[in-house]
Amino acid sequence: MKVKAKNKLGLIFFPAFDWAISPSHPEREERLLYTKDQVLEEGLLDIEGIKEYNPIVAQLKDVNRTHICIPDAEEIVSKPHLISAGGAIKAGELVMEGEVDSAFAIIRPPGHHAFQIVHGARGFCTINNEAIMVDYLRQKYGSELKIAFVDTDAHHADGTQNIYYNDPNVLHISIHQDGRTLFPGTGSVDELGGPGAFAKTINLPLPPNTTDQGLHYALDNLILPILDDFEPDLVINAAGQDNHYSDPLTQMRITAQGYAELNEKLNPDLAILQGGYSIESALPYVNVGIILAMAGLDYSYIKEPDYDPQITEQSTQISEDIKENVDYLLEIWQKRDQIDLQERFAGEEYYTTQRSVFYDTAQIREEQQLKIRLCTDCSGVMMIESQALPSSVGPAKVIILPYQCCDECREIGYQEYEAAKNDSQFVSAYLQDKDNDQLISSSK
Amino acid sequence: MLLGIDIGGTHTDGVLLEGSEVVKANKLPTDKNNLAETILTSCQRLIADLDNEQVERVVLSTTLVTNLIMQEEFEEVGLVLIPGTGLNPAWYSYSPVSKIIGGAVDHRGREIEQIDQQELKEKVADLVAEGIDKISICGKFATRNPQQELEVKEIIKEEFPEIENIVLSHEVVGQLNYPRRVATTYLNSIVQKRYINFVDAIKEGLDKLDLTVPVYILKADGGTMPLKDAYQLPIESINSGPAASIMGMLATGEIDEVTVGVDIGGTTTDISLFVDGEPLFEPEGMELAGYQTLVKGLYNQSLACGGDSLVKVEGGELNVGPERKGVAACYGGSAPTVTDALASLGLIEDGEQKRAEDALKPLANSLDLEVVELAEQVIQYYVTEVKNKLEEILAELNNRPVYTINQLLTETKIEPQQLVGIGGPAQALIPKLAEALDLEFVLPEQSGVVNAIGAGLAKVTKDCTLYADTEQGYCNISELGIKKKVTQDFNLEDAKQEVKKNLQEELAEQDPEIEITTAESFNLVRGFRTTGRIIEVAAQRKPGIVKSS
Repeated sequence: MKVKAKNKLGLIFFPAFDWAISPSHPEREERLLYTKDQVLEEGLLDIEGIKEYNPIVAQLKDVNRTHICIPDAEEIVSKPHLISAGGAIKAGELVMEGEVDSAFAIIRPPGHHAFQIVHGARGFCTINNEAIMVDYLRQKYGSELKIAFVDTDAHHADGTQNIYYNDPNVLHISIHQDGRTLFPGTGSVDELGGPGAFAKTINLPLPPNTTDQGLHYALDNLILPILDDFEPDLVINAAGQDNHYSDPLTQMRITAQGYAELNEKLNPDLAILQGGYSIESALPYVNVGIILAMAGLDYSYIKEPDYDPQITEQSTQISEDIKENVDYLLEIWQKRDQIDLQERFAGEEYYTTQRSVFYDTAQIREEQQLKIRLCTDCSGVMMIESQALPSSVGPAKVIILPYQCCDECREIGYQEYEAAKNDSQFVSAYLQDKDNDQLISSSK
Repeated sequence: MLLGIDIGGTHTDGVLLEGSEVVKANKLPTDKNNLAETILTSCQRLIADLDNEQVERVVLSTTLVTNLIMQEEFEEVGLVLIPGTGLNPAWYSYSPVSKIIGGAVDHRGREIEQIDQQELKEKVADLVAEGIDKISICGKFATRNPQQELEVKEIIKEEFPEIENIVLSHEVVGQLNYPRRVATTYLNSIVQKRYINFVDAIKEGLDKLDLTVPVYILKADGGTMPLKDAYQLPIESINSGPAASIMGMLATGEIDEVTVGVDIGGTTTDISLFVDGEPLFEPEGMELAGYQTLVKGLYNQSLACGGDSLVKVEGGELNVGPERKGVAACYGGSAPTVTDALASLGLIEDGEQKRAEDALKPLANSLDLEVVELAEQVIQYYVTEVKNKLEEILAELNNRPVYTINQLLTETKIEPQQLVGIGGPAQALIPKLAEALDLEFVLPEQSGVVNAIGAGLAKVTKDCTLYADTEQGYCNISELGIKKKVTQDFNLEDAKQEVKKNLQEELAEQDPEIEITTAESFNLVRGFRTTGRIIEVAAQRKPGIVKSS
């Protein structure tokens, strides 16, 4: 073709044509069939500078670096999950090794609803592909890497948020359809990160029927300014495509043009596919749009068959609601260093909270008691008591030592782990030590 | 008996075969301005002592189409593109006279925007005004639904009788990849007239020789096509040179398991691969003069280093190729070559060892080496080049994208076990190469006319793709012009039978073995209910060697 990509783009296209959660589940063999047809027919892979790669198969130790699977990773994780995570890892490595300027992993199943602790699948996700990739890269290239996520899936990226909630080197921005109207329900503007990483979690809920206008208002006025301040080493777009106007599961009105333009402006180092279930009317066009935008090529000729220019118009009420949230969050971001964390995370030595996690796919409810040490030397040891129902395994205690963990937190963590092993109220105990790249566990 | 003629850039080789035995062979200089004449002379000499009745068929491997395209000696053809939405159409508007018209078909073959007849007529009128009398029509996803291409053709035929030739992209290639389909269709059209003239000249010449046997043309995929197809699809004959060489190795080289084919030419070394004793295909389509096409071809990679490549010393470093300054010194040339390195070691029987040594001497002196030492280094250099290239090829092929978990986890890697080598210095070089690669080797006899043998013995090949959408109730085989209704219960097995049956009819041979190369079936689920299936089946009559008769 008479064109060359401005940016070298690596494409990990792995549609897993022989795997489904169940035959009629939205995560089924057919999901990326039409995207494959569109990508092949457009001849995208013939463009000089766009190259396709196979995923690698992630190892269980890659999973254990990010997650604590209960009872263990062997029990929870299967090959398709490891390949999807391996697709993300491959994308990350291509970029870090300088083989490409940026990479897009079109992989399934998605990952952004998978939490630190995993009892099963939720929101079609079992393990968090992008988090596994990030932790892999930090292990390989240095834990001081600064990472920024911009999750544009219509559903709140509650899993990725959970994994990095108290991690100061990872900025997690999620823009999604307002949680009061959609699974998983979370992602309000007041979820702003733990005591060790305040304002490194940013949530912008968008009202149903938000169009390209609203999306780009948020991008221009909130996301891009925050990214400029944060100066990340890597920007990752968790590229959910379910806020497309034709998606059957959501009520958003984004177009393929809107998506492509977002990627042009954001210029992410990595894009990782999340949800998106309008498999015939949206995905083929949105994916082609993202690929062209990431490669720095003209995407202005991409339009859905039923595209109508009026689709980008939104009500003044929606615009005002978005502006209000953008202003609120921007102010918090700008004043993040002046906020009294002792006051905000009221407590003596520990910040404690509890939460309930619903696994819609696996039909499990998990209750968590969470404690984070308020530490001035590191982001603080984290201790979680987890009980899932129904479950064949009993209550578990999980201790997580963060990256750059201080000696005191480390000592406390190991003491707590020893104590939990002997505590009759826990069936199992886990200690994840990020700096030493290990997960140890014991069960009765 | 069979005739095989391979027209190369400098020489034309011809063989007369009985079974797979060479009865007679000749080598003539190629008259680039009159290929037909060269071919006919070769034929005439081969059949001179024969009763013409004994000849069963003639197969030609020609560079004509490649030459026409490379030298841009072609006619102007108007391109009418129906791209719908997607990539910027300027990127594949290959003809200087391209027109983009409205209309669109989507990935499932549904018409989503109608052709605007008025716009079409105006744009074709512009083409006619520019003196265009040939038009190629290419629609995105036309292989899924050719209706719009057919409709445009009808309108042009009706309104513009001055357009003498209309080609539709879905009839030229059946696979997805619109820009490649446009390129393939366009290239096919621009060479078609000249190609027909060439074929007609040959037919006329053969008639004069009283040789009225079927004539076949060798294709890039190592198979042949009868003339009726060659008229329609001359583009299939590009790159038949390497295909002839690969088929020649297959015919003469006792190839089994995984074999690396090495054809050592004057300025290049061509590397090919055989898996389970069958030649490997180029994963995409052939590339020619910067055009990426969908022409199916045998896998072949060229290394710019061959027997006549110049040996030189630059900045104290030994270097070989890519320049060539005529033949090797041992054959009377003026400058030292790879072949001279072999000759100086006494490895080339018909070359003059002394001349080779003399040519290498100054270089050896400048590096403070004996001629023998330099010669070994030159050979080492060549061997390393080939070895590196082969490693690069294997890395690329062994990491081909796959789309299923099963393939990703089970795909076996290509690991060569033997080497087969042809070409001038093969006798001397292949053993050394095999040693470096730790492979067994085979050196076919008749290595001077292997290409012509390959052409002479190649079978007819043909491939096609069936696509069925049972929700919409259709199935089509684009290349064969088949579109028919199917019911909801049409399944993968039915699709395989359908495609085999049609391909068999097309080949018109007794029991041709047909291989299914792709067989996929997806359930369409809408609202938690299975509403139909999407089935894709590709089949081919793969390349092979005619067994003696």
